[in-house]
Amino acid sequence: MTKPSFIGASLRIFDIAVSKILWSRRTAFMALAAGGPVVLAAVLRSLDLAGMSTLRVNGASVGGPVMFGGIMWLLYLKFVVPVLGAFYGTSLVSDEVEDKTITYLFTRPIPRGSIVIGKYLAYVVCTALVVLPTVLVSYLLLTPIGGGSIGANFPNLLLDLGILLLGLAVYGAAFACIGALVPRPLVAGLVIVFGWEQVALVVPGYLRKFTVAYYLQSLVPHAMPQDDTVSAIQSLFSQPPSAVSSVLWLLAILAVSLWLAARALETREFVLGQ
Amino acid sequence: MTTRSRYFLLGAAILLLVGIGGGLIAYFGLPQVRGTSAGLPSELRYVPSDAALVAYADVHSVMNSDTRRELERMTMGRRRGQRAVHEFAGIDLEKDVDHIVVYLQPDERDDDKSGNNRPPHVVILAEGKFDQGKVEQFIKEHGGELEDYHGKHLLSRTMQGSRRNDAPAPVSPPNATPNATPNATPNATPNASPNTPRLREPEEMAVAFIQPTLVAMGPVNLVRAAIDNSTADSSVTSNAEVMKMIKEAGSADAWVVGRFDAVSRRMGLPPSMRAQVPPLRLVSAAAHINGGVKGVINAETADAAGADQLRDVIRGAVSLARLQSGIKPPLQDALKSLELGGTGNNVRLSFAVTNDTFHAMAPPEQQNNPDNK
Repeated sequence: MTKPSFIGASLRIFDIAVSKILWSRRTAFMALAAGGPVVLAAVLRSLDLAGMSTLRVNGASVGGPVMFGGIMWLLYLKFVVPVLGAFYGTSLVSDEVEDKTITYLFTRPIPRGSIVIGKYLAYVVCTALVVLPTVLVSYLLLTPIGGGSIGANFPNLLLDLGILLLGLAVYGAAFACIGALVPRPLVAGLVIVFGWEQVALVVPGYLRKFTVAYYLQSLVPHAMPQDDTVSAIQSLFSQPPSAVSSVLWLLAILAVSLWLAARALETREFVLGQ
Repeated sequence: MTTRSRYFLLGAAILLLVGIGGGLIAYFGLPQVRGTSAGLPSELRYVPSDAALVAYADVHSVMNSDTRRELERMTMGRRRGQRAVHEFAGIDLEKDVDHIVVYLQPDERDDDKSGNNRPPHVVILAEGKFDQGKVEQFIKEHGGELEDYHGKHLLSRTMQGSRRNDAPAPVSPPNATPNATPNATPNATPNASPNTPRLREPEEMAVAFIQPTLVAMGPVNLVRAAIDNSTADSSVTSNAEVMKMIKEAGSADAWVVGRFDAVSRRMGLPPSMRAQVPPLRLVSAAAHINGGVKGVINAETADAAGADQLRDVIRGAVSLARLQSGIKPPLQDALKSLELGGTGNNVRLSFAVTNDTFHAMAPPEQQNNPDNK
């Protein structure tokens, strides 16, 4: 029997991991996180159809495209994408370790690094195919409110979908790396998402350059909602990088993180508890 | 992969693809801006094909530039147009507007042969973030009326005549004397030169929300026409000559393209001076603004001989200016930056003006003002 190539082994692991990711207990959380914005959009649209002006700022009703921009920022970019990345990314390796099933994978005649890559690909496909359709549905529900044009704003939606896909991929890679290197990676992941990234973005100086959110948020075509003091401070000190440099940095973070995760699996000795 | 997983992923992918496909159909089904390409403002589709002049300014870039601050210091904050728009519609150009497209529309009553020039009709198309409720409330409070025109909110109010242009005239403060109104300006006398634009009688001005992020301001009939233009095929985008010049100037922070005969007549150039200029058809100017102004002026003459003649005139004028003694160094630098070019019936003049040059051009009292440092 010939040893499969790295790519072949990764695809085999991908095939196995898809079902495991889709039908795990975490799926309930993913459904809640991705379905929340759709429910909110449906409520807002229903109120609009019922003739009730749903959202007002300084007495003026807010149009659908602006509402969708707010949901993109506040729900998807600041919550859904990083949290899904943390939940699934950290579990790619650590679940196998905690369930003591990683031994079975290691006994297979495949490169150890392909385990991380295959599971990571499965994570990207599953989360993207759950989150992106909900974004699309939210857009279709919200944009017509206040006379917004679905066609005219569609290029922005394509950009949004691309940004979310990139965000899921980069956060997933970064947290897969953490999952392969750190014990209790979920705690570390949540600390990074709700602690480090939030603080670093509002601190003047260069610290924000060590966050994924800094590069990801600079790509967003919508204006950042000034929903709270933190956002106001963030926009005050904001000097967003160019789109090209943001994409390059994000791709670099993705590549380095995956390489580190794969290398950790290749070299690290996992001691499974009783 | 289990069958259930396969069906789930397939269903999600189909939903995504159908949604994207439907959105693309909606996007390409929109009335396309004919003749425009990426980088040009989409508001051009509201500009009529017979507009005498079309201008564009990236308000954010211009307002945030060092040059604007320098010019503002020189002029002690004199921002007539900005104030006028704010007092007419409650819109703050600096904060609310991203970019504007302005066009001049010939007055149908103009008689070219008589030499009597009516001031031009000006329509402003401003793209930005507007509080529609606030703007409508503001205009209603100032005696404006709201009407629905083809599904768009159009607010109109009668404004005092303006001598220079049709930009909304500022509301006179309550304590203003009658002499302070534009009607009372000396140039409004019947003895005014026939080449000086005459005072326009009071007329109805309007603001229309064409889109939530786009307002049109100007005479009510032209604002209605702008709304009609969006669906008709009679916009400036069908004017190949003008669009060619707009495309060439389109990357600049600010540009203006117009028919020279219409523009020079409305600028009040005396016929004797107009006669000295070789026959020009179209003129454009484009400027990149920050740390000074880098600009290019293009002119299209009727023929190659006219272009040669114009180049000679410019060359002579520049040489004469360079020979002047006592010119300040910043002005000398500006003169050195002038480059004359162009082929065929095209004449091209590029220049660079630094902030120091603007400072040197300011009146002495402005230069000595310690606030200007």
